[in-house]
Amino acid sequence: MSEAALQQAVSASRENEFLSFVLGEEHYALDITTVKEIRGYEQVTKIANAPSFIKGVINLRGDIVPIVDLRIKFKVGEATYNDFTIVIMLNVHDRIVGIVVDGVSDVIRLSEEDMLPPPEFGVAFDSKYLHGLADVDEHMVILVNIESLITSNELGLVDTKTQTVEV
Amino acid sequence: MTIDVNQFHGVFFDESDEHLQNMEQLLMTLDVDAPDPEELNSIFRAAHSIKGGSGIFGFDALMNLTHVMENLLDKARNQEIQVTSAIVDVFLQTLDVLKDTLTAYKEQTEVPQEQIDASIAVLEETLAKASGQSDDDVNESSLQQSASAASDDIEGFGFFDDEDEETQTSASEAKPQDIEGFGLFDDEDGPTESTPQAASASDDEGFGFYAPETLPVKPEASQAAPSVPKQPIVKPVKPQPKATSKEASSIRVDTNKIDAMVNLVGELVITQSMLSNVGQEVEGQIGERLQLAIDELQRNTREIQESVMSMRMLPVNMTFNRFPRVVRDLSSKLGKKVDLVIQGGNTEIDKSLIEKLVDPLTHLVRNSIDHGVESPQKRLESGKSENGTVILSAEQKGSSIIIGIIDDGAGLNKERILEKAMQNGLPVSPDMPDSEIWQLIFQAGFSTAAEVTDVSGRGVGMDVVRRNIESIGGRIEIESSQGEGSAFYIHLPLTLAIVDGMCVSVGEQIFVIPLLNVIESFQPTKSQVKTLGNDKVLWIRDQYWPLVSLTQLMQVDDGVTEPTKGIVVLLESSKKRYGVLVDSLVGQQQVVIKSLEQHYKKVAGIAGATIMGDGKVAMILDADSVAANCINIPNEEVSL
Repeated sequence: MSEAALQQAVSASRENEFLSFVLGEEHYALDITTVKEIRGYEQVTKIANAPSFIKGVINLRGDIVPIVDLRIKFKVGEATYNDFTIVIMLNVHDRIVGIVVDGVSDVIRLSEEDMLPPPEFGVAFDSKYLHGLADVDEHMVILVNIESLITSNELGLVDTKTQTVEV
Repeated sequence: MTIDVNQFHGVFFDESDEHLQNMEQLLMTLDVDAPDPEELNSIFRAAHSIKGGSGIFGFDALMNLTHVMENLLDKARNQEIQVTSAIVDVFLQTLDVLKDTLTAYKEQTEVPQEQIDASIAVLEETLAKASGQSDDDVNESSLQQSASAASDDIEGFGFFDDEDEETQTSASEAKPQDIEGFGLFDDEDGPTESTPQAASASDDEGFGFYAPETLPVKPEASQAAPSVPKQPIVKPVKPQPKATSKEASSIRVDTNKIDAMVNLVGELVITQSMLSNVGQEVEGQIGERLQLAIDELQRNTREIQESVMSMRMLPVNMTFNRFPRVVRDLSSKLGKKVDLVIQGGNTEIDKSLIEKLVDPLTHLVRNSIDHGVESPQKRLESGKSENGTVILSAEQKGSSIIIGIIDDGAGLNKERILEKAMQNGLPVSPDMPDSEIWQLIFQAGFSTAAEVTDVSGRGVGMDVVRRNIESIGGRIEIESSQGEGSAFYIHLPLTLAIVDGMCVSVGEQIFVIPLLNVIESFQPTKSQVKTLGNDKVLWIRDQYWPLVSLTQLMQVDDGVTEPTKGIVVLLESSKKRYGVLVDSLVGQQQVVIKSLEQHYKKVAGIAGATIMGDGKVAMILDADSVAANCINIPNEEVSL
């Protein structure tokens, strides 16, 4: 009995908080400790020769921060920009990146047992950018490994040179 | 109880660097014939501070060397020995070894023990010789006495530290006959003159040997050494925190803190201009009051900005001061006579620029002495004075600093440069304008020196010089005339953090072009625009200028692409001159440069970004990178 309680305590301490957000019809979540802030979408300054999912840069209190639209990158939902469009500002490896999403839903607590291994296919994200899946309120929530995604070559947010230094 | 002294290491290294620099400077300016006692005292104090500090931190090698140096200096300042140029040379060499040792401690590598030992031996020999010759009466015992006095001095230096006078008197009391002897010599011109000469002559013999490298110790040196009583082996000096206490006229601040402050002030400037934008929209009485307050704020912010920026500024002398030594060493090595003139050393430039200037400047100065200034014989033959002159100058012009390295030597040899360029397969013709010919020497692998010396001539230098200068946002210009000399002018921005920019609009976006690069702007007429294949070129100032459309280059929607409908800004980069087509000019303003790489990555053609008064981000063009990346590959761009 006491052992079970102990185990529960241990697993409870392993619980992580995730911020869930919506891209098109799908529910995603990312580690909340990487989230710096959440703000509305604002006009960006375009960058030349950047892929279409990099919308441009904004001024975040003096920092020039790139904004990535994951909807364009992973071809989910429609890339529309209105007053309800949300940007999640992330802080990964001392770099700030904003990602455009359709909406932010909730903060969810998940322990390791709640995480199911990611499927090999069927999700817009490559499975190497996923922690796993979770079932929350009868929704399937896809847990994104946002650190590996942001620093990946696929997004091209980081110079390959600086990347090797940082990783 | 253990106190972590490591935290003070940084301060010690910084201070010691300063002391060494100070000593070098003083030694260079020291008048050997009539040494200023105050200057000798300053040198002594600097050596003493280093010794004290290194004792505290247990840097024994450093301490031992400074200790011996200090002994010699002590005698010099007490006028027990006559300072000769040979002794100054010894000191300068010792300083080099000290620098190496200090660096070794700083980087926690092995200390150059051999060099230190050699240096100590040289110093001891000098001490023995100099004190022997300065006073023939001094016999073994008095030497012993003086040395013991010196050792007393050292043991007691905790007390005398701040009171040099007392040390002096106690030392002179110990050896009254020394002083007397000197008084005698001073009166009788004959002996004084002959003695130092003899001393320097015999010194020279020895030093000719040591000068190139202090490593091999002459056997006589070790033989001579025993005649001097063994240098008191320095006991680890007890920590004396008061030894380093100084007047609080300046404080040491971490550069990062200042940088953070510069950033914050940059933010403040932006916020302030956002506020004044809003303030203009408010009407009525409140609007007026608001406007007044905003004006006040604007003034204050500008002042804060100026004073914060000035914290980062240092006089360019910090760099220039090392050159008397470089010139002295090099000219004697090459058998040339060169006077160095420093002008405008108080001109202030950004600290980060100072550090990055050292290498290119050193190279250019060495170059001027090696290749520019002729040998004394040649100079006389061509009717010039025997001594060549190298001028190092700095002056501020608007928002840039111009640093000049000017010599009155032979000047650049046009024929030889052209010949070499042809050998290297560069497209050249004798009709090229001079300025373009001179720029050829910045090509990699370009050296016209007939023979390779170890000073210069391998041709790796000049392209590195140019790259270094360009990396700090500067450019380099050459003026030269055969037989009269050449001048290298380095144009540098005043600071790296703020740039004077011309704001231009393209479509919905604003771009900032550094004013440093702008030649002029105008609206082209149809007859000025010519088509060359897929590209447009501009005929103006009797030249064809490549034309770059910012709309295409920066992939902006709705920008002007028809040259006659927009404005052309003529730019000059270190690589090329070209025109940039924009929609319209917005105005000139100072902008704070923000890094794009901090959160994103480097973008071709862009030097950085800035935040405009309305809070929006604008890109700052990099004229060099636009020239390099875009002009040569127009066809690829079309295919993209």
